[in-house]
Formats: sequence, structure tokens, C-alpha cells
Amino acid sequence: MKALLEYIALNLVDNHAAVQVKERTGRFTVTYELSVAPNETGKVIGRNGRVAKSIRDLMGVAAARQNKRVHVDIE
Amino acid sequence: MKSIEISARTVAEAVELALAQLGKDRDEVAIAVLEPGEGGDEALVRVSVVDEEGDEPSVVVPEPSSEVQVIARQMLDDLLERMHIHAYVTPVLVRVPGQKGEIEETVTLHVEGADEEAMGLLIGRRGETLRSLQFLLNLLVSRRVQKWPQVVVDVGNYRQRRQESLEGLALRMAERVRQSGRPIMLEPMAAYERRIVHLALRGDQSIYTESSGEGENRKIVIYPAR
Repeated sequence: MKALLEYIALNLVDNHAAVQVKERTGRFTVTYELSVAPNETGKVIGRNGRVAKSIRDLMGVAAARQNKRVHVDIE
Repeated sequence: MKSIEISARTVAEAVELALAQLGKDRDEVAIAVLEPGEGGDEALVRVSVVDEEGDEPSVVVPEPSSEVQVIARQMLDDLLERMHIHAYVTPVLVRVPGQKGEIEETVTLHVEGADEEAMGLLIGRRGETLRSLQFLLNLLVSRRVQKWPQVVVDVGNYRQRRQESLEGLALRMAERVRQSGRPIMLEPMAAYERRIVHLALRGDQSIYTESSGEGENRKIVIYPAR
């Protein structure tokens, strides 16, 4: 799951060094905190949050493959 | 160069049939879509066996390869792999002349896999996940090719099946409006799905269709003719 989020994020922003993915594993839910360079947050959120929604949808598929739930926070 | 033309209900099916007849794999052939098979027409494809080395030099001018197709396919493979989904991606390239004489390219990536559950996850409820996948893929590819590419992602022929079921729904609801004389509001749909419904009922003089509502909530209302 982390690999998917990193792949998407790295391909959406220019400043690769600023991309960070933190993972917190709960009993049923895995939470990811994605952060990118402050001037590039728009690229991973998108107009009306459309990019963020797409990222969450795909992460949901990856999680369902492992019978888990996933939560993605973007800062 | 050995080449056959085959028609079937959909492009994906025609390609499958052609490959079976030629006894070749996807990576050994070039696929050209002659008829995309939209609006109830049959799809027609030409599948040509790519020359193996050692054969006499080919005199056929190869189609210029599509940068978008190569990148989009690779990135979709990358995404699927990271979702732990095993599937085959068959790219189909359609080039049509645009309004200003430039060539418009549409790349359709047909995703097929044996794992029905995984394919269902990719499609999501009412195709929502499939739309997200397609949107994100276009976005990722656009950053590589510096333009907005026309990449369509289809999973297990979902788009064709959804179109048929929407057309069936449109006709049934129109019949109900005719009988009752009262308008019926359909559930919210994406723009291209509303388009399918509008088109399906365009020729029907006894009713008319309009969209109302905003954004995610936009839906079609079928009214009896005034």
C-alpha cells in the first residue's frame, strides 16, 4: 500500500525530496500521512479534492486486497 | 506480414478472437482499430503479426508509435502491480483527424484478469473507482507528455456493459413516463453516462429529457412531451 502511495505522489510533484509517507497501523485501519512540499500540496489534492479522492479510491482497492481499511491524510 | 481483420461485439473481443486465430500473444502483434464498435455497431480490428527477426525485411510502413500509449500502459501496469492485482493490459490506439487537421489520439487500455473480485474492486460501485483510476492515470501521464492525453481505462468490458444497461434503463423509464404522464427523476450520473441516456431517448417524440442539479448530484429527468 505504501509503495502505491509513494509511486503516485512521486509522479505528481516535482520536489521528490519533500515527499514523505508515514504509516500508522491500527487494529483494522492503516493510516497514511502524506506530505509534500508546501507549494505542491495543490497537486496532490486537486480542484475540489478530485486528485485526493482518486488517490483514496485506489488506496482503498490496495487495502481491500489485504482485507484492511485505509485512511489517507494529506497535509 | 500476416494480418487478419475480425469483427466482434467489442474491440476487446475482436482482439481476443484474432489472437486465438493467429495463435499469437499480444506482444507479437500490432493492433489497429478500424471500427470502434460504438452505438451498437460491431467493432472491427486489424491484427498484424509483427515480423520475427530473420524474415525478409518488411515493406510495410510501421504506424508511428504513440508516446502516450507506451507511457500510459507502463504506468497502469505499475499501479496495478502496487495494488497487488494481476491483470493483462491491452492497449488499443485510435487516431482520428481533429478539427484543425492535427491528429487526435485516444488510447484505450483494456484491463482483463482472472480474479473477478479484484476486477470488481477496480470498477467500484457504479464505476466510481474506475473513473478515479482513469482520471489519475491521465494526470500522471500528462506530467510526462506535457499535454492532456485521452486515455480511457476499461475493466472487463465494464463500459460497454454499463452503456447497455443504461440504455435499457432509459427505455424502461421512458415507457413508464409515457404510461403515467408524470416525470421520473433518475439517480445521479456522471456526464458521459447522462449523455448515453439523452442519446438513447433522443428519437422518442413522446418524452423529453433534461438534466438538473449541480456537480456530483446532477441527474436526468424524463418528462412527458408537452
